[in-house]
Amino acid sequence: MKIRIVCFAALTLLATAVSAGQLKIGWAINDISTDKSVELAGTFHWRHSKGLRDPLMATALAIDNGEDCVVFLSMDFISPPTHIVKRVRKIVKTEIPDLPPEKILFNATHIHTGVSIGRTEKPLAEEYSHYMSDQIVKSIKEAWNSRKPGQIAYGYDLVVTAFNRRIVYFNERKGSIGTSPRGKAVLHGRTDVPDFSHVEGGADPFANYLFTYDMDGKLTGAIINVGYTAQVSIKDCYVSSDTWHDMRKLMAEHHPGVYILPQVAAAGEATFEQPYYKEAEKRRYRLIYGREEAYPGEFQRKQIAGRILTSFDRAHEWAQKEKFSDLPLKHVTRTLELSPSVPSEVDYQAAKEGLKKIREYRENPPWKDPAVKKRWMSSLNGRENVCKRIVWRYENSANLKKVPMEFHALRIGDVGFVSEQFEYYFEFGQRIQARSPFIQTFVIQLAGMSGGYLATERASRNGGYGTRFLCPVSPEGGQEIVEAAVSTLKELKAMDEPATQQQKGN
Amino acid sequence: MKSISILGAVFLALAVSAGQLRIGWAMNDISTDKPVQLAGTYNVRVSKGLRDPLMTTALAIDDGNDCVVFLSLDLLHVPPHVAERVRKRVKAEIPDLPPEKILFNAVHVHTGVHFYRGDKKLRDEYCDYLVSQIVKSIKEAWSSRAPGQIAYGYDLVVTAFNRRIVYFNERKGAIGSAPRGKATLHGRTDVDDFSHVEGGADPFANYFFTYDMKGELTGAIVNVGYTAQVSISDLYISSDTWCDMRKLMAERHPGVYILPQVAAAGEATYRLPYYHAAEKRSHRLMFGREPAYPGEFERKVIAGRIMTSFDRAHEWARKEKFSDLPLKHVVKTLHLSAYTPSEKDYQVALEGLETIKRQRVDPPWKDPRIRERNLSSLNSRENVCKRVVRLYENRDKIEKIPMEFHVLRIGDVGFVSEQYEYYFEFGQRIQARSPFVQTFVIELSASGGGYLATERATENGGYGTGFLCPVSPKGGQEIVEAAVATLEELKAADGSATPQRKGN
Repeated sequence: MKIRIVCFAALTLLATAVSAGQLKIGWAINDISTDKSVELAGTFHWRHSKGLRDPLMATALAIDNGEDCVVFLSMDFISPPTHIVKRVRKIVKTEIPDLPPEKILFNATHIHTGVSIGRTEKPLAEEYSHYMSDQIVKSIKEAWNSRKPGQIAYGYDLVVTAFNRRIVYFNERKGSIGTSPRGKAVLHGRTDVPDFSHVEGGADPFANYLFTYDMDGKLTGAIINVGYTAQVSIKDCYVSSDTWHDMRKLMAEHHPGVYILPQVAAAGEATFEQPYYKEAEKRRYRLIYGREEAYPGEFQRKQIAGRILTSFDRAHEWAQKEKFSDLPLKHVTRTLELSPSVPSEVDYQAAKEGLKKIREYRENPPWKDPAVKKRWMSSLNGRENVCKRIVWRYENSANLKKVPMEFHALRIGDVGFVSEQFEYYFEFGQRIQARSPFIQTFVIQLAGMSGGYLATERASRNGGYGTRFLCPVSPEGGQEIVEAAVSTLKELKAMDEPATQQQKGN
Repeated sequence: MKSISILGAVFLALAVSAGQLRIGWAMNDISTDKPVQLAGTYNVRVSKGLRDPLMTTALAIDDGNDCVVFLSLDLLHVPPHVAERVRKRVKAEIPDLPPEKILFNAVHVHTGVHFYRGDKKLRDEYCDYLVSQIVKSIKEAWSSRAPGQIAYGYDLVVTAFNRRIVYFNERKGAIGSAPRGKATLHGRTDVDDFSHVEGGADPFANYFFTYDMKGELTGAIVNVGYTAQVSISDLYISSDTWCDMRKLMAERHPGVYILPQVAAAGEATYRLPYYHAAEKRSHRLMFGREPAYPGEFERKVIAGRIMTSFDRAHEWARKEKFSDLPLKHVVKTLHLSAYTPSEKDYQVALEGLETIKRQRVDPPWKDPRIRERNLSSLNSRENVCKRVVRLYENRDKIEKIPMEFHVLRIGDVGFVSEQYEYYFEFGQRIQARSPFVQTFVIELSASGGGYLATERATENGGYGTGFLCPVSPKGGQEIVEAAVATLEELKAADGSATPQRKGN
């Protein structure tokens, strides 16, 4: 498979060898919330925020070893907005001259209760964009400037954070205009029906942790990398950081003053919703809490955060026994050029029919229930845009260009990190982790710029939401990321032959 | 679907009513330290002794109208002749317990006794002992029944992984064990053409807790999609992870019984599909020493996760205890569509038989250990190939396969049992469509066993599919349909019966 690699920001940082250096570590967290009447991001239909449920945060972790560096920047957002990322890098270039802007590895937690900058009224969107950029820059500056000699440890745990949300049937479903390609799979489909066959795949049971400490061995923070996209509050029309708010609260109780930086592993098909046992789940919450929810999804958020905390503590108990203060750190940033998704004839015909249907709906909405009607009508623009894009792409399929993607590969000692910008299906992440030469590999999705789905071959065959025409990049392109990740990680691993890790072990 | 009553009894009544539950527990040893052969692999493994005891656990419940005795065995499967002898003795010795009300299941350890290989005298002696210990457990549980309460709950926990690794390219399979296809059992994932793990693993752990009338916990059914096979490379008799779990229970809940059941988990494994170096490192840091025996750390870590999950579920489930509940237990024989070998299976089997002949005469393996291992597996491989040939040549006369089938409800909890290594997806279909709040699917229940793979697994090939399955994917779905229909009948039958909530 051919992968064209283009230097990002004129810098390709693969050197011939890496050596261990004293790690310097800095943390910061700042609010990126708004209580203004913004639109919420994450659904085809529009959702207007009623206010602030709990704060959105931007967390920064800066690590350098004197030779190379990284700033992990996690934001409670649907995906890192491209214009914000560009603006932040521009400011950083001016205001933090010793931090190369491409060393910032942005990622989003993919909450569905963050701000939709594109849909929010323009003056408000601009005001928010400035605020958000400033707060992110503030986090980066604070983390960068507060770097001190420190240590890291790493570990993993097995925990159920999510389920696979693609329900496969014996018989084909017709799909939905502009959102779901025809096929046997349905997003969050019912499983209590006679032709329910199976859940398409698994969900990521691995939680990866990178713990940081000061030189006295005191825990200062942790990257939490899980295959879980916090979308529980999707029905709650408030700005919210969803489960990560609960997790931060639990951390404040159990580990006061310790930062967490959430990352989502490859989890394009993950959900918090159980595929069955819905009654059992309701009963569980009734018995655990003995009251009604204070807001939609409250109990689910708390339960998932509780499981992550248990897992965090379980992993930390053994991982903390091996701390490292001097480690090789190497951070490679590239632009990959990925094979685009090309619509099939079936999808093309469906899109043309869809456009016709949308016109009919606009003239004569068929929905009686006012709430359903409002929801559908507000989604028509989104659906129409997708259908138009399919038609255009099909008719110009010979001229479709490769899709550029910011790509980071990083190693800190025996831990690898790989980032990509899509809602990358779990199977791709498995391929990277299984083939990586590092002991643990953190795959970070929705990193860099805004993304979209990136489905595997079998998901594309099964159709349904989150596959085929909803994906800017083809399954082949998804595999191109795998190959680039594995080969870059291998290069990074091969470099350190003479470098030995200094184990502190306190 | 044709169904025939087992032992002349079909117990579906028009209505069920709640009655005071009476509950009894018992557990007895079924170990041996004799040099028996160990069950679970094609190659011959002779036991070097006893690592930890095999147990049989019985839980008897009745509501005055109907009853069940759950009987769990730390064995690979439930030997049909053992089940038959136990039922015969129960009929004679416990006249008020209908023998068909015993719901046997095995935890599928691969370090239990082999019933068809090894010294016959030893085997017969062990079978006599096993039968008497099982009967003892049933008697003790049955006669110790006292008014009690139950509670139920579930938790989400990682106990297992799917062990079927799928590649972009087809693999050639293995003689008499693995049909050609894209999937490989425990295949390597660090290779360029690794595509994906075929499916998920069961994240639901179902718990059924029992209490005395004071509300003291007396025991629990632990139903997980986990087959305890960690000790497979340890040549000792062992109850594997369940020994560790019982130890943890003794520490945290002294005197409380557990009755392990395996949910539909035909493709489950304890082995991580990747992260092997990370796992080794985690064990090094956790334990700071070498394992005392193969699999020690994996067993302990998995048991620890189940224990955490048990406590997490019990914390809330115990808030709602029930003393008076409808109990209805249906036992049927299902007749399932058999797997018919394809022309391809037939040709592969014929070629396999030729190869086996050659390998016997001129073993191609240089390493003595591998040679011994492979030679000791040839009989089993040959038997499979011969069966494939026989089935294919008589494919017009293949009969349906009878299977003992239990469906049970206790209040809002359903139980379904089947006798195969039933793939997780089948279990999902039952649980998703069941009308009960929770449904315990129990695999390797009653007699015998063998794999029962789904359609997609059969398409992908590899070990545990195709010609290794006595029953076809269609037959697997017949179990699903029978389970759902019977559960619905049981649910509909309770009409006005409402559970009496005790809630202490």
